[in-house]
Amino acid sequence: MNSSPKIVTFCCAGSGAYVVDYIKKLDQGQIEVIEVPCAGRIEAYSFLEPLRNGADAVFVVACHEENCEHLWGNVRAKKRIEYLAAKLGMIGVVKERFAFFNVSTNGGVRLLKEMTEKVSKLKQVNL
Amino acid sequence: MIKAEQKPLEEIMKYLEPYKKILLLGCGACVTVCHSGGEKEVLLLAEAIRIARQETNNPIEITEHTPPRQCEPEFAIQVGEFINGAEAILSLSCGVGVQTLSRYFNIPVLPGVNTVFMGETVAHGLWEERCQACGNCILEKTGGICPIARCAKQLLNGPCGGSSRGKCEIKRETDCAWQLIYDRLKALGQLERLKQIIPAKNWGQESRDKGPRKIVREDLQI
Repeated sequence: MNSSPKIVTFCCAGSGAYVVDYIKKLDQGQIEVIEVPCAGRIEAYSFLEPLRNGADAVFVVACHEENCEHLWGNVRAKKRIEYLAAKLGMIGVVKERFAFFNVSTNGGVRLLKEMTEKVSKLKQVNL
Repeated sequence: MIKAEQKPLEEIMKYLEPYKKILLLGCGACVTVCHSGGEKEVLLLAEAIRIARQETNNPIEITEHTPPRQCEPEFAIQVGEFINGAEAILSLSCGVGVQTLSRYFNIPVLPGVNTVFMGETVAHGLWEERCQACGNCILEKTGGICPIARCAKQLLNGPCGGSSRGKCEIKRETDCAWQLIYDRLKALGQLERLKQIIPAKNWGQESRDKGPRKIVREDLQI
């Protein structure tokens, strides 16, 4: 695939938005960051719009479980991403094009490492 | 309400293969409540179909619309405004809506969901069957719990010998309907009702055994 995948990353304002600088260090891909009030606020169809518009992958960065300001927003977002990966898997959209990350506001280094691994896997699959 | 599940995307894509322009119709009633065919599901499915067709270099034009209901002529007729050259309608309503639309429009109307049962929202994301439209309700005799819809054997005078610790022998995770009926009648202080034998239902007259049923209210007809 493209050596520099285009990735749209939805970042929760309560966690991901604090580590955007780390996300942008992800030099293996072209990263577009969209800050959202809560990861759970984003409907499943909104995660698909970037793919239709040419993105190679959609990442979601949310708070750790049991640490969501809105109680279950992070869990809902994770389940939506998993649902989409399964649903679109039926028509050949590989699951590597969706990824979900939990992060704390001081967890940028770990997030960058996890994202780098996901991007490496993304680059190995045929989109 | 009627409960439905969206068909696998793979199956829907096969239906849509011959078409370049479709109208994707949700329904604002039952399928919205069970998250299989409401406005959100229309948006999601439309995006998924577009992505699938992009992947195969076979783009498709999709108009999205969700009327309040598809199963009533008043609403079904209004759908005509959105057809605008569409070669087919992909309907996310129950089977009733699909057939109502088929009556009014001369283009194929394809089902996007499987209509599964009439049921209750037990919890968010969990629906269970509660009624089979048998045509002659006996809930007054069974403490408001339906043995036709909820007993695997549809026993009218249960339980059977397979009821164990309140669970059904056919599906171990399912509550035994007759255990539920017993518990409910006990709580209501009406256990003596269990002594009454419920006669066999007149399936041939009341139910579907004689083909599709019809309700006529002459006072409402002009």
